[in-house]
Amino acid sequence: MTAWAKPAATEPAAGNQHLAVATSGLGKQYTRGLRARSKWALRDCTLEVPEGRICGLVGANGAGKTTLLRLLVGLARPSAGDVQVLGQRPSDSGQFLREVGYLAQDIPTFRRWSVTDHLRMGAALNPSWDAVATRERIQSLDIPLDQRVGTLSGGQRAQVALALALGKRPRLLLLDEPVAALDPLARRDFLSTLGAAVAEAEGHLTVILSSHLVADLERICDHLIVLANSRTMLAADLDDVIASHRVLTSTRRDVGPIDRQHTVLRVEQTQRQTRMWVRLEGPLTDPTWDSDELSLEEIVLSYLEYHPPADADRGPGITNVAHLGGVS
Amino acid sequence: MTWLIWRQHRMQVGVAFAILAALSILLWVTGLDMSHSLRGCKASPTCSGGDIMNKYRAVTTIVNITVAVPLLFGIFWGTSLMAREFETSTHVLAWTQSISRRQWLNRKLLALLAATVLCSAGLAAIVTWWWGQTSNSNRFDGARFQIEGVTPIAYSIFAVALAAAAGAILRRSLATLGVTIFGFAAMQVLMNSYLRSHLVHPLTALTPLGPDNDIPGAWIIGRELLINGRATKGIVQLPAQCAGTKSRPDMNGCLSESGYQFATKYLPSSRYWTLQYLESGIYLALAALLIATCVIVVRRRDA
Repeated sequence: MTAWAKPAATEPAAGNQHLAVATSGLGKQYTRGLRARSKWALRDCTLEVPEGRICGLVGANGAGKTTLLRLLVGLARPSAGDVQVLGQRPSDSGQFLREVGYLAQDIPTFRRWSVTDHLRMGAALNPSWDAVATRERIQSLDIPLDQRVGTLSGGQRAQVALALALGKRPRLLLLDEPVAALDPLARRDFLSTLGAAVAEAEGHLTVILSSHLVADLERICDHLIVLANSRTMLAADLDDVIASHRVLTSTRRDVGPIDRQHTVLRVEQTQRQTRMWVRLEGPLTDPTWDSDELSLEEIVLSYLEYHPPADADRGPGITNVAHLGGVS
Repeated sequence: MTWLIWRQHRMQVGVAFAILAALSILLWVTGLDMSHSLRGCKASPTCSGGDIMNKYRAVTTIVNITVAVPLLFGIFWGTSLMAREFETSTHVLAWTQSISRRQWLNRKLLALLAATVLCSAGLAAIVTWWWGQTSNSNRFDGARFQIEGVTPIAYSIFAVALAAAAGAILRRSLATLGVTIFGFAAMQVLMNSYLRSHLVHPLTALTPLGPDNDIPGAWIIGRELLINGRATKGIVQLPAQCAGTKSRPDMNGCLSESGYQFATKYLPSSRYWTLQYLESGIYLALAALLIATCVIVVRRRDA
């Protein structure tokens, strides 16, 4: 922990639970062109996702969400740090790949192939393929099996791709902005398919889902990762996130005492009033502040705008929000 | 994996083998017909083999055009092997099933290269047979050396390997297409105009001027004019005694008597296969390098 990141009040939420994903100091550097300076797409990413969670992954464009997911499934190799997925390092082996389902951002499919062809490919390439459930899933959505995938609607295509990723019965499912291009109805259907699959798996399926739509995430997720400026800002249980973030209001005064104890994400000072968005690192001792809950949207926004102090360049991001039982 | 490869490439492979079948039938029928006519022609003193061959000019053109077939393998099969996968991101789909990237790559390369060998060998066999029926043309001549024997198979493997390596590096179909066409053509030009004549040590024979200097079935690589056994330089003066000759045969006869002759560098027909294997070996070695490049790039580079 660096100077700016306040120590957590209690132990991380993960405890002794099995972890679906654990990264430490994970980084990915890209070199564009021969003379161009290399750029970090993801940096010092340290986070844990316990098994069985549905984890939302949010961040501005270019924050490193896609890079993180690609590192987790082994499509890209890390430039720095360590990554463990289901207890093993992502590798180019069938044994690892059969545990992880992945749906890329642009939803790649063979456009001229029929839906059936895609299902047959899934069966041919995955030893743990669940043919019956996959076919039922597609049929219950009224997607014609013999139609070319390229002629399906965006929502149907996303559903086929999701069915393909689920068909191998993965223990970890990584979805990279699958609903970004979908209309609200298709989005709802997609998420309900996902929800049903998670319910069927009875805790044996962990999902990491990146999205800009915080409202969607709030509905289906129980865990949250926030990436900003290629770093992890937050990786924690969703209830803890809601419980530990507050907007504090008072007559105008110095923010110093709060800043020393907690993490101030954003401050708004007017002539008469001080308002700050704060992550509590322990009980709020000063009762003269008006403390209000923040919506998840507001919390995410305040992280995306948050610029950690200058010396933050060297250390890991803010992670592992403490369990805060005593917040009033 | 076999199913995936079959589903992805069945169209191209199907079309190629259908064309091969059609071409085989055409060459089989015309080849038999031609050989029959030529045999009949030999018996008759008034018949010229050239007139018979004129009847088959269209088929001869088709046969000679097959010199471009290896490039077609590169364009259609080689480009779809890597470049199209990357361009449409379907490699991400394949690499996130329960199959390793290594396996995916090995089987794909193996399957398409095997199909290439099979198809090009079939074509080379029927073309070789067809030209064999004519008997009056040199196997080293023009395109014949490149469409008969084992060279077309080696060219085809090279073209597919070139497109695979270019596709793995460039990841775009159009750019891969350009590199394949340019690279293949450049290699062919280099081979035709320079390399091939340096692959084997030619023999030298002293031959008279005129039509008798031909060495049957041999590849004439070059001729040098000798006067009394010495090589000539610059402009050759006509000897005074031959100045008055009227006809070309008389001129040649006079020159021969005056000590003029050719030193002919040639490759005898007995070394035809040596040259075939050597040239094929060069193409196959290049193809092996390209395949290795493709494998390294695909396995090392991020998706």
